[in-house]
Amino acid sequence: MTLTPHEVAVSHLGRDQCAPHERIKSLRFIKNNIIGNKTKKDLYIQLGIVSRLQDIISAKDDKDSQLKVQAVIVLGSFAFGNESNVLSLINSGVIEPLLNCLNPTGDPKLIEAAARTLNAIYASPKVSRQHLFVGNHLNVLVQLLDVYSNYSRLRQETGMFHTAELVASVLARCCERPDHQMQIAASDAIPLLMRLLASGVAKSQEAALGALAALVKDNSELARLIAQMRLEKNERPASFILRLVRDKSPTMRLAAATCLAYLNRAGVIPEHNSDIMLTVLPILVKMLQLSGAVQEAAPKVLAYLIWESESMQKAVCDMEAIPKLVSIISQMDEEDNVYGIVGQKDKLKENSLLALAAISQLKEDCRKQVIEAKVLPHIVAAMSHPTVGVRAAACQCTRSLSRSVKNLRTSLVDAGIEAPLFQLLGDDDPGVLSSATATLCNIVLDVSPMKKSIMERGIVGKFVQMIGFGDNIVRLNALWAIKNLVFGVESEIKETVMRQLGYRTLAVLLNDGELAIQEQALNLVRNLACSREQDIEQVFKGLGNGQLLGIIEDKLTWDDARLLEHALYVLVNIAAIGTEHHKQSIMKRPGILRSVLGLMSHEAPAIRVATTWVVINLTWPDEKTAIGVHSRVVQLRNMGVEERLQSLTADHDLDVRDRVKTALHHFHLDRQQHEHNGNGMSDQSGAGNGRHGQNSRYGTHGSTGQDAHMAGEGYGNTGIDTTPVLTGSEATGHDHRTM
Amino acid sequence: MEDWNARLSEVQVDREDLNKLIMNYLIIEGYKDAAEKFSQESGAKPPVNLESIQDRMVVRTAIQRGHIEEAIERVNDLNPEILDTNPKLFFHLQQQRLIEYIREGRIMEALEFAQEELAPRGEENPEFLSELERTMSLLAFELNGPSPVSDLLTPGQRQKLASELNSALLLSQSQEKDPKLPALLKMCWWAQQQLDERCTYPKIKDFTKAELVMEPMGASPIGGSHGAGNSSGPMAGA
Repeated sequence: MTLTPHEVAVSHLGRDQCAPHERIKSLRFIKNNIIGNKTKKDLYIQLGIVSRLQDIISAKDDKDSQLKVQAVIVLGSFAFGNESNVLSLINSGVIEPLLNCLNPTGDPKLIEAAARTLNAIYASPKVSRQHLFVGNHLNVLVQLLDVYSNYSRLRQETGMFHTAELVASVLARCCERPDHQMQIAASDAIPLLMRLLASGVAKSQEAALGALAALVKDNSELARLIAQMRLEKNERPASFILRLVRDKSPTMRLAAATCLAYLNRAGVIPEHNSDIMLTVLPILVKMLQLSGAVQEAAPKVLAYLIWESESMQKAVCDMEAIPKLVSIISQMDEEDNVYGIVGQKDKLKENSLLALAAISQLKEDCRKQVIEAKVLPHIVAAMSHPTVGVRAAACQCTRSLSRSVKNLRTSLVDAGIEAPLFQLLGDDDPGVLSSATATLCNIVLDVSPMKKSIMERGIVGKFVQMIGFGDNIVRLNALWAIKNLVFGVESEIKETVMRQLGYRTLAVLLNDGELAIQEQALNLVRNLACSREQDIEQVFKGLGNGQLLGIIEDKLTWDDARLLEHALYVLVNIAAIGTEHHKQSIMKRPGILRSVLGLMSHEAPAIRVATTWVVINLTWPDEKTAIGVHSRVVQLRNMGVEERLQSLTADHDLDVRDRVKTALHHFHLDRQQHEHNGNGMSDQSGAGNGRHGQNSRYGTHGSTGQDAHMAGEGYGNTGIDTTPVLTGSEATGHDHRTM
Repeated sequence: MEDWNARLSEVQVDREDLNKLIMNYLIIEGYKDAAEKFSQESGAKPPVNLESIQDRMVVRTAIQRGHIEEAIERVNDLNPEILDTNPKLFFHLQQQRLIEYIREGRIMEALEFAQEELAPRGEENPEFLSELERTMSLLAFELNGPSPVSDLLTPGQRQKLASELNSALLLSQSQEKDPKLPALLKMCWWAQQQLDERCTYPKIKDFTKAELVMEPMGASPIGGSHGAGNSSGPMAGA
C-alpha cells in the first residue's frame, strides 16, 4: 500500500523518525497544504496530526525553536477551520503548552506564532478561557503589549507591534465574564492598551480598541475608569476614539464605534451625547451598505447602542436604517433560494434582525416603518431558521413589534406568527425560549385576536410546564404571560387557567426564591381576585382557608415597593367588590391593618395612593351594609387612620391628596350620620339625596379610579427588564404603547 | 490676483511632510532601492522596515512570472493568517494556478487540481462558482485564438492578482494600500477643473514641471494626459 504524501508528512513528525530539518520540511509542506483549505485541514486532523504537534510544542528543549514555530503555525491554521477542528485541538490540551510558548525570553517568532494561534483558538466561544487566568500566564501575556519597553526595543519593530496586536485581540476574546474583565484590568493591561491605542499603527490601534471595548462592555466600573483616563496632551480616551470613528479604514471605524457604543451604554461619556447622535450613529448606519465583516458586525453594535433609547431609535429610523436592513435580509433570502445553501451569512441576518428589533423597541413610528417595509414574512420565516441565533433574533423582532396594540390586532396576525411562535416553545435554546415567551406575554393579551386560538393550541399547559422546568428568565416570562392572560377575562377562563396551574403551585410561587417571580405571582393573584365577587371567592377558596390574607399579611412586611403595591391592590380589590364577609376578614387581621397604616407614610407616592384606596374601599358608604361600614370606620378611626389621613392632606403628590380627600370624606359622612342624627336610619332618605349626589361624584371618581388602577397596574410593568411588554394598560396608552 | 498670490505665499508647506509623501509612495509601490536612497539623501526616516518592501516585491515578482505556488509559500511565511482569513484572495491564487496549468498545456494536472482544490472552495462559497466555470471554459478554446475568456491569459490577469495580494500584505502590516500622492494629485487636478470654469488663476498646466502659469479663462482644458489619474505603480521585476 502506498502512502499519500500527506500521510508521509505526518509520519515524519514523530520524534525519532527524522532529523529536525526533515521534520521542519514536512511541517512546512503541511502548512502550505492546509492554509486556506478546509478539506485538507480535516484530512490532516483525521490522520492524527494534532497529538504529534502537541508533542513538538510541549518539548522542553528550546534549542531549535524553528521546529516549534512551524508546529504552532500549523496548529493555528487548524483553528481557522471549523468549530470541530478547534475542539480537537482543545481536547488534545494544546492551550497550556501554547501559553508556555509566550515566555518573553524565547524566540520572538515563536511568541508571535503562539499569540496568533491562541487568538485563533479563542475565536471560538466554546473554548474555556480558564487556563489563561491560572498561574502567571495572564501577566506574561500582558507584558507583550508593552511595545515601548527596553526589552522590546531590541527586537524587530514590526513583529513586536504585530505580537501586541494579537495579544490585545486575545484579551478582547477573554472578557466574557465580569471576573475575567476585572482580572485583566488588575494585570495593568489598561495603560498598555491606551499606549497601543495612541501608537498610530493602524492594526494595533484596532486591536487595542477591541480589547478596551470588551473590557467596558456591561462593566460600568471599568467603563468609568477608562473614560476618566488621560492620553497625551491630557486628552480623554473618548475624544481620541471619536477621531478614529472618522478614519478612512472601515474596520477602524467599526472598532472605534463599538468602543464608544459600550462606553455610552455604561453612561460614562454623557458629554459626548451629541457626538454619538450626530457622528457615530450615521457612521454605523452607513456601514450597513458595506460588505464583509464590517457590514456583518455593524447592525449588532447599532442594536446595542440604541437599546432603551427612544431618541436614538428615532434618529436611526430617520437615517433610513430600516430599508437598508430590510434589503439586507430580503436579499439574503433570495440568495438562499438560488443556491440552496444556508449558513453562509447567518450572522449578518441575525444581527440585522437584532437591529430591527432594537429600532422598533420603543417607538410606534418606527414599528410602523418596519411593518410597511414588508419585512414581516422574512421575520416569520426566520423564526424557523436552522441557526439558533437567527431564530432568537427573529423572535426579538416579533417581541418588539408585538408591543403595539395595532400590530397585535393586524399585521402580526396576517403574517401568521402564531404557529411558528408556538413551535419555538419547544426550542432547546434558552435565549430563543425567553424571547418567545416574552412575545407571548403580549400575544395573550385581550386585545390580541390570536389569544383565543393560541389558547386552543394549549398554551397554558406549555406555560405551566415552563414555570416548572425553565430557567429563571423563562419561568418569569411564562408566569408573566399567564398573569397577562387572565387580566380582565371571564371567570371561566380564570378557572380553566387555574385548574392547569393549580393553587398549590401558585402558593409555592408566592414564596419563590426569586423576588421577580414572587412579584408576578402576587400580580397574578391580583388579576385573579378582580372584577367579580365570585372571582374573589374562588381565590379565597383556592388558596385555602385564611391562606390568602396570610400571604398578603406577610408580603406587606417586605421592603420591596412592587411587592407591596401588588399586595395592597389585592386588598383594594377585595374591599371593593368582595362580600361583606371578605371585607370583615380583612378587618379581623390587625397585622394587615397595622401594615396599611404604616405604609400610609411610605416614601413612594404610589404606595401611599394604594393604602388610601384600601381605606376608601373599606369605608365605602353602602346603605345595604351600613352597619358593617360604620363598624369598619370606627375600627380604622380608633387605630389612628383618620389622623394619618389628616396629615396627608398636604402631601406633595397630587394623586395622594385627591385620594386622601375622598377617604376623609367617608369618615366625615360617617360622623355626620352617627353623631348629628342619632336616628340615622330614619333620616337617611332626607340626607340621602345629598349624599347620593356626593357619592356619585366620589363614586364615579372612585370606581374609574379603581378600574384604572387595576387595569394600569394589573400588568405591573415596572422595572424587571423591558421584558414583558405592553404590560401597561391597553387603554391608557402609556408612551410607547400607542393604539 | 495679487490677493491670490499673497495668500498662496502664506501657505507654508513643510519640507518634511513632502518627504514623507514621497517616502509613502515609494514604500507602497515597492521601490525598495529608491526608498533607501531617498532616505539617505533626504534624511526622511522610513516608517517601516525596508525589508518588508523586499518581501512584498518577491511575492509580486513570483506572481508576475506565474510562479503561484512560490508566492503562496512566501505569503504563508510572512503571515500565515492572511490566506486563512481571506478566502477570496486564496481562491484567486488557486484559480491562477489552474490558469497556469492550462497555459502550459498540462491538462490532466489542471483537471485534477480543479477537482481537488477549487471545487471544494466553490462549494464553500457559491460566489466563486461562476469564476471557476469561466476558468474551466478555457479548456474549450484554442489557447491563442480569440475566446470570451481570453482575458484570463493576459498579463493583466496576473497583474490584478499581484495587486490584490500586495494590498492584503500591506493591510496586514498596518499600511495603507494606496499611496497618498496620486490621490493628492487627483484632487489638485479636480480642483483646477472646477476653478477653470469660474476664474483665471495661476495654475499648474504641466504636472511634471509643476510650474504655475496664467492662462486666460475659457481656454480649452487640457485632456486627461497629465497622468495624475494614472496611479498604477511601476512593476518590479517586469
